[in-house]
Amino acid sequence: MINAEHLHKRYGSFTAVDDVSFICRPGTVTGFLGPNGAGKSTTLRMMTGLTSPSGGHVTIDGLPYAAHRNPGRLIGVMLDASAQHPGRTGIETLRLTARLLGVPRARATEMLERVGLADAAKRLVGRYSLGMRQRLGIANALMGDPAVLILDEPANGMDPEGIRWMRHLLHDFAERGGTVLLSSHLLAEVQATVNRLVVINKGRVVADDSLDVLLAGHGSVVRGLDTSGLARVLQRAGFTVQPDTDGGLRVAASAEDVGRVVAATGQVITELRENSTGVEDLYFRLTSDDFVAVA
Amino acid sequence: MTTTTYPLTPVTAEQNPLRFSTLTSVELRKMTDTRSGRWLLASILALVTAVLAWKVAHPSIEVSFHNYGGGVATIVAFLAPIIGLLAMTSEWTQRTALTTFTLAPRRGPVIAAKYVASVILSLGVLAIALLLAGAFAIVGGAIHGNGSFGTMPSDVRSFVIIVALQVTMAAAFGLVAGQTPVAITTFLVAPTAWAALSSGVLKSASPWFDVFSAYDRLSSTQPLAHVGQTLTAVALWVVVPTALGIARSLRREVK
Repeated sequence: MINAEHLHKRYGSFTAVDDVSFICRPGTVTGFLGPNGAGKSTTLRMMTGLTSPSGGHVTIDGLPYAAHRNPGRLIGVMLDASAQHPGRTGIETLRLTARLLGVPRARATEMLERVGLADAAKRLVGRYSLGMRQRLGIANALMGDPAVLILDEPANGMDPEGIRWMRHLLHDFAERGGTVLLSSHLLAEVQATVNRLVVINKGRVVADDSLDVLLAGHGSVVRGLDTSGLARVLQRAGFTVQPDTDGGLRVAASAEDVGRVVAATGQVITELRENSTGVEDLYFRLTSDDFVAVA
Repeated sequence: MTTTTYPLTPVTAEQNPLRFSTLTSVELRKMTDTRSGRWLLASILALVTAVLAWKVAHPSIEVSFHNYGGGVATIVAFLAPIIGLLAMTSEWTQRTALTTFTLAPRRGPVIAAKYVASVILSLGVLAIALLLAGAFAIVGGAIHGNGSFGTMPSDVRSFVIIVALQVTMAAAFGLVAGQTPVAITTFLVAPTAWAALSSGVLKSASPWFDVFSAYDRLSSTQPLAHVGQTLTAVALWVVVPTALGIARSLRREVK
């Protein structure tokens, strides 16, 4: 479990991270979103003991990162896939980690196979594509058989097949009781992978909840043969109705309530659904300049 | 919760603390498992062999362990410490510090392990170079006659001291510069350039700042001669950069 409490980071007069608190529980995949410069990487670095907070603290399984005596056995971290020595082979990179963690040397080969890099084991990392380095970074994070994964932009540079592979890997990891925190700019991928979202903007948390709750209905959308007739009926029933851009109607009521009203009037409808937003809409709404966080 | 194979690891995380010996062996391996590290090692041994072959081929050169060994020890003393210097800088320039310091968050022991590994490696290279020097001296003695091994124990002692001091200075420059080109240039050029310049400017005070003369005294049979000058020069060129470098590395933000 990751527990960030009132994290602050100031650089001179600039506040990079401003009172960030959130919890990641076992069995969940949490997406950590925010524009560039929002404080994501700084938060992840404070979480992994690379940067000391100006205030607040963050613990993983009850202890600050650096207080764990062999943190790689508990927490798998990949903060930048490019931060590998280009003059070392892939297998050697993992063998060094195996030696440091005190896990069997054979695990390096196993992990390389697991991330689909067995054929590139003896190639220099400098000759790897970005997607291959991401896979190597994930293999490196998994070397210690951790219970917590912290990944910064793991899908960056991966091909669609790699992205799907990673989604399965993370789901599997969480299903087994692991805790995952990942940052990403690939919003569609985030929507398909995570079950919780933490969104930060300008150093502050602007959303922290389960994906279902955050994306849940803002009313419903209905479409019918007689749009104006439909609108009249729904307004008469006391609902706020707004025309959509493409001929549908947005109604400030659940799909079920709209369905009952429409059924009683005999109007013919061609579509009726809950108006759930996607992660992309949510993201732009939360990180737009005029959005004010409500704690 | 579909599977039972997932081990919950908080217990093992506490049961397998990182040991200094593990850190040192990992750092030693990191110095020799990259292309640049291997090239540097191979070049040193190639250069050592070439110099020894040149000496054997010239009858006018005195055949002795002192002479042969001294030549290769100088090569080792200037080039082998660069491997340790690279160990200090490459974490930052290659950004592997992100991995190194997440796996081993206590930076002090990691830096110490790099230093120890660098001393071990350089002395290992020195040992190989001196074995080669001995072998060539035997061959040279057979060809030219009069191979001398008389001063070998004191020679070895003084070579070891000089290499150890050079490794320390290189590591200190690597730490304080935090990037490779500046650190290597400073290590190879600054002490010599300083010695040349200061003898003109500082006149009689210059021995107080001449680190190579200090090394010569420390590695001689009278290490305590001019002990004040020796300590001042070593403090200036080794102790101060080490202290500054350690302080910088411990605080430097890993990005």
